[in-house]
Amino acid sequence: MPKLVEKSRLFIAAFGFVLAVVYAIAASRLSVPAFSDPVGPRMFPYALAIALCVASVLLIGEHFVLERRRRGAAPEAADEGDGVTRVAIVALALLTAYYVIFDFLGFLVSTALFLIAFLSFSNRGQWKTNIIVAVLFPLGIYLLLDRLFGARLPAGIFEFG
Amino acid sequence: MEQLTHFIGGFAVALEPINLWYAFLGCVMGTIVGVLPGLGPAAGMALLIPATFGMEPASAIIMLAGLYYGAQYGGSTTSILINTPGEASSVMTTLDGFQMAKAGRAGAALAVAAIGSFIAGTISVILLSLLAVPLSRFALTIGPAEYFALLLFSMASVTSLTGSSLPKAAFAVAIGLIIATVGIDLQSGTSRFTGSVPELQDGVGFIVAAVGLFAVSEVFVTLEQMFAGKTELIGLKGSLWLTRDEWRRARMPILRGSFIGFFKGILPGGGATIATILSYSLEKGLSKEPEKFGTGMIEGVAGPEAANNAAATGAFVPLLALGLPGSASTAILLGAFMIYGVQPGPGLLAKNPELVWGLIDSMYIGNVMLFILNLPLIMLFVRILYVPIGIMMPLILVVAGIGVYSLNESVLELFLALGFGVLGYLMRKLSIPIPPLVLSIVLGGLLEKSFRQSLTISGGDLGILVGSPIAVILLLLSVFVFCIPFIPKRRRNTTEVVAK
Repeated sequence: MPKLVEKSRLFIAAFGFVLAVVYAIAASRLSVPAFSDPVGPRMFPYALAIALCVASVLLIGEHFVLERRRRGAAPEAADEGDGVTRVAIVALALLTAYYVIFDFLGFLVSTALFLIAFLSFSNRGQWKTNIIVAVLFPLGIYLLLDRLFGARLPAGIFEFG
Repeated sequence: MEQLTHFIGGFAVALEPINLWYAFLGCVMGTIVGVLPGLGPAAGMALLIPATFGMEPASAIIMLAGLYYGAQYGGSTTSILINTPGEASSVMTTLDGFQMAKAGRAGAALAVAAIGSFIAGTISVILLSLLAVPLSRFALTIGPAEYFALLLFSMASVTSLTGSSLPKAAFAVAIGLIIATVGIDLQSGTSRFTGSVPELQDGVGFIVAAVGLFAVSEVFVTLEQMFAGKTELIGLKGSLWLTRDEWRRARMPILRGSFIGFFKGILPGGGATIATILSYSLEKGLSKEPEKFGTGMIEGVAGPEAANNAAATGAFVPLLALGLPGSASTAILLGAFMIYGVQPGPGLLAKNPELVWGLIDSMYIGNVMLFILNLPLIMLFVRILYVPIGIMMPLILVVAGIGVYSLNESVLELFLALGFGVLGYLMRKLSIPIPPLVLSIVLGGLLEKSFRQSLTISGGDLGILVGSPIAVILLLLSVFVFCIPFIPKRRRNTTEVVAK
């Protein structure tokens, strides 16, 4: 995994160049109204596309400087552990599913389902606690926000929550 | 005399029962955010902002600020008890704080952190009260061209001093500024980069971005750490107070840390974290027993804990006098100002003296509240550490979702926050610093506006950007600060200290 971190600057720079080109093309297609200020809506985005390219060039430069220094030295480590883990992917999938059903099933039902699913993964084996938390937490939040503070939470197809 | 009137008027605002209550709530939440290892002040404020809609601006900002400086108090608790800093600025506290706890002096370590934070917090609010007005007088002479140079200076500093790689920080700034251009261009009325999505007409909401970048990505990383291994929680034993000898050793580091922290806090970039590193290095350098640092020296807790609190308050000087944030947390606070209709910029203090002085004076009271919360009542907050992380993290995700949804009742914004969560997670994995990105999202619009206003005034002549001595000095300073990492010796020293 340290290999990925070592090469990360090249990947980021490549992404930077692609984004800068796409962004500059999109900026060139912006309409300029007849009565605009002297700068207009395009110039700042053009400058940013150039800035992104400069940052990408600096990244490539830094990559080669570090590679020369690194010969014989310990590999560079990431700040936050090595690589994307299964834990993050599962968390992301559960959160995506939660947002998909959020509006449709309403706050109470979708949150209870999300919490049961997430807790059975993050707090494994404690199913009694998990069910209590999954039921009481959304209910408490609902009573506090929806009933007390008047915040609007989605009601969903069951018309509550 | 006018300053004294405003100062007293500020207390009239800060002492209103409703504002006292919100200051207290902010301090309690700040302490909780500080104690929770997976949640920093930036994420905490981003989560809290949607709940403050409908409140008076002064009350809302007093509460948010309470959370911000309160988190600096709470951050030491986990550093001392579980060797995990609650915030980045509490990293140095782990070195000696955890060793003190292992030696049965957890109570003394927590006490010196709370006392140091209180003294530093109070000294720095006094300095803030003294400095804000002269600086804001200078600010009134600033036009759009100078403000543009000032914003550039802030961004150059954050780029240069955050993280270990300047190109990565510069990359983050460029991406943040690009995100800030999404939405209707207020100068020309043109819709830019919205992809015909109506929700993007007003631009990408910075709360949506901040919740994703900080809260969601922090939850992912914290869960990974939880699955990777268990952390050891050291119970609180013994007295929650210092011996006479410990107090004698701690008082000078607290004083020195207060001043280092405050003046580092005023400068943008790296704020509180770098202040703690400077304070720790200074105490180690001045000590007769430098070799004992890292084994449980009370000086190593007292100095950095004073420094991070003072730096948090110092950051209010440019924020309130010039409307200029120097870190992610203060950028979020500035974003909150805009939401409440308070125009940020050099005239902030002159236009809103009641709000600004109400906020400053509430910090005197907030520090007393935090001292009580963090010394006699710290046992209550330590209980939070006993709630399993596996339960706490999904609950934070739910709160984050509610916060984002309640902004505009938009599911699209939930997915946008999720996208920012993934972006923040990948940035952490690739060691790209997040604060420059958030700062650019908040400041991008102001940067472009001041640039275009300058050129409108000059009829398109770029010379206006270097048309005044202040603008020239600020632009030169920006270039200088940007080049700091290229000075080899300095860079090596900083990275070595950070690595240690």
